[in-house]
Amino acid sequence: MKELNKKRKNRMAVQGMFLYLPAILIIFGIVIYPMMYALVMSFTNYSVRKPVMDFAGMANYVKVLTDKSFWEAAGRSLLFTLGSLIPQVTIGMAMALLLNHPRLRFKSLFRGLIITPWLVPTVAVAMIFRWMFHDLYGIVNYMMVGLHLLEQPKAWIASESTAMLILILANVWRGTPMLVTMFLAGLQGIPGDLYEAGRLDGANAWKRFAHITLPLLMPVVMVSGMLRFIWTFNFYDLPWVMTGGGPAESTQTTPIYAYRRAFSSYRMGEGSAITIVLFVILILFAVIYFKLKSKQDSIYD
Amino acid sequence: MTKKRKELCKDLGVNLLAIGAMIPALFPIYWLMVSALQRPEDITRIPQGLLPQSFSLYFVKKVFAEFGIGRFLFNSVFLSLTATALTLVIACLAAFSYKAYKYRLRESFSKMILFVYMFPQILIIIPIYLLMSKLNLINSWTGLILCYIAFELPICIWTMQSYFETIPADLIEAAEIDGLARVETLWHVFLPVALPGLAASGIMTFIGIWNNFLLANTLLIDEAKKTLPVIIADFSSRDSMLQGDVLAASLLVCIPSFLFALFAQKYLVGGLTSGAVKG
Repeated sequence: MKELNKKRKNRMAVQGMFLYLPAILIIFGIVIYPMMYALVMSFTNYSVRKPVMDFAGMANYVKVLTDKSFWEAAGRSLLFTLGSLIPQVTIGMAMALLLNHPRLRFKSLFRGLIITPWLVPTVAVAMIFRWMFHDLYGIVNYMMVGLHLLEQPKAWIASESTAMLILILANVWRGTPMLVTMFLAGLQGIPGDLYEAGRLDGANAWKRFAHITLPLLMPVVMVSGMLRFIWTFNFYDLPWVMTGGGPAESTQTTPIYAYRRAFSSYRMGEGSAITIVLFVILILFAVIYFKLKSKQDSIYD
Repeated sequence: MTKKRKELCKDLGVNLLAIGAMIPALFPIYWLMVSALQRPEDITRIPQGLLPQSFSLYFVKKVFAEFGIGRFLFNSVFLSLTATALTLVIACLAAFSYKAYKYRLRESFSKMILFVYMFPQILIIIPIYLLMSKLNLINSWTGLILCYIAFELPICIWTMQSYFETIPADLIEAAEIDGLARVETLWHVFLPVALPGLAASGIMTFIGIWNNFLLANTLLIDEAKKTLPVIIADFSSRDSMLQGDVLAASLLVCIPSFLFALFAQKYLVGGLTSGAVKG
């Protein structure tokens, strides 16, 4: 009987693994294996024009890490990321509080409307903002000149000083709704009697926010903020379509830099080395993420 | 009386503030519609007005007739539907395996999925390109679909898992006592209960694939094979294209997710909150 049970258990385990297999195979083939391949590649001077794997030691890494453009790109990525995340989190939090306010009518309508920016594909976001900030026909120039905020129309996207600003603005616009939704879900999880108790203790609205809402939402903010940091740092689509890294490299973030390096010059070894460097940075953030997440999970348990 | 009035003022204040907050969120979409659906002479009129000057499908018709956008629309619809269907099947099997079976590698599989979920596509695009060129899958939809599946799987598995989580163990046991094998409970117990989850993850996956730019832009070479987002980016760099044409195409690429928002909002919001969405 015991023998039979064990046999059945084994059979079930094999069955279970078999069901998971398609997912694992695809992910291994498309993500894990190429990643390992890139690691090997990064130590060679493989290029599409000269497709031989000559061992090159650390040459590619030295080249990348001593390249001034790499560090400039990393700096721009950091600027783009923090410039996007700080407004996204603050505006997202304010919006979530507003849309969760007991006095608000038509809550579900507002909550439905607020996610619409997230529904617009990135390519369309780029086109909309390029059009709104167009130097000749852009609505922003028209309004700002009309309100005497600007003396004459400005070429927002074509000038080095403002291109990054518009890029960040577009990213804040498309990224905030997702955070509002997440914060709203978090807010709804906070029991109402906590606020009641706070009110009885004479805490005003600000104190209730600082002592009840914020500490309870903090884990959600930290975990989703961390993930967003990783994704925004490596966000390729919007800068590529909106500004193409220009004008004069003023919006060339690390993803654009890496892509250009690998595909316009077809130096795959070097491109791989950049990938690996970025990957190591990602791992560092991932470690922090997992730490935060396990902390969050233990709070909720 | 005054207290009542004060309450009313507060009510009004909150509601007006919320309406005010919607303006920056919705204005760019409003402006896209106004601009794309104008007569060609109105789009470059100076000075511009905030209200629509005219309504016309001129640019929409033009992108179909002159730039053959129908072709790319079809490519996008076909690729997104196929890849979504495949992703759903594979994700359901995986999520079911995680919930209904116990085996040693279970947690390692799940961790690997989480890891890939965090992974930005740009970090892997160079090696993927090399792999695909080795396999002769550059410029092929097969290769592209495989990549779509790999990158959409994690979130899809996660969402399905969270819906499967809600199924009580008694229900599974009862089904097994009734003579169903464990595998059969997927079809007869799990899926019927998790149907809303299937809809939610299907929609999220579809939108994710539909919007994808990097993979399609890197792996496809022939123009006839390209997807809508890629061709729009392409359009905007052509001198022959007018702003109105590009905007009309941008409006077209928004349609599927807007339709989901109008007719399947419940599932959309369900999908948004059940797992953190990328980007």
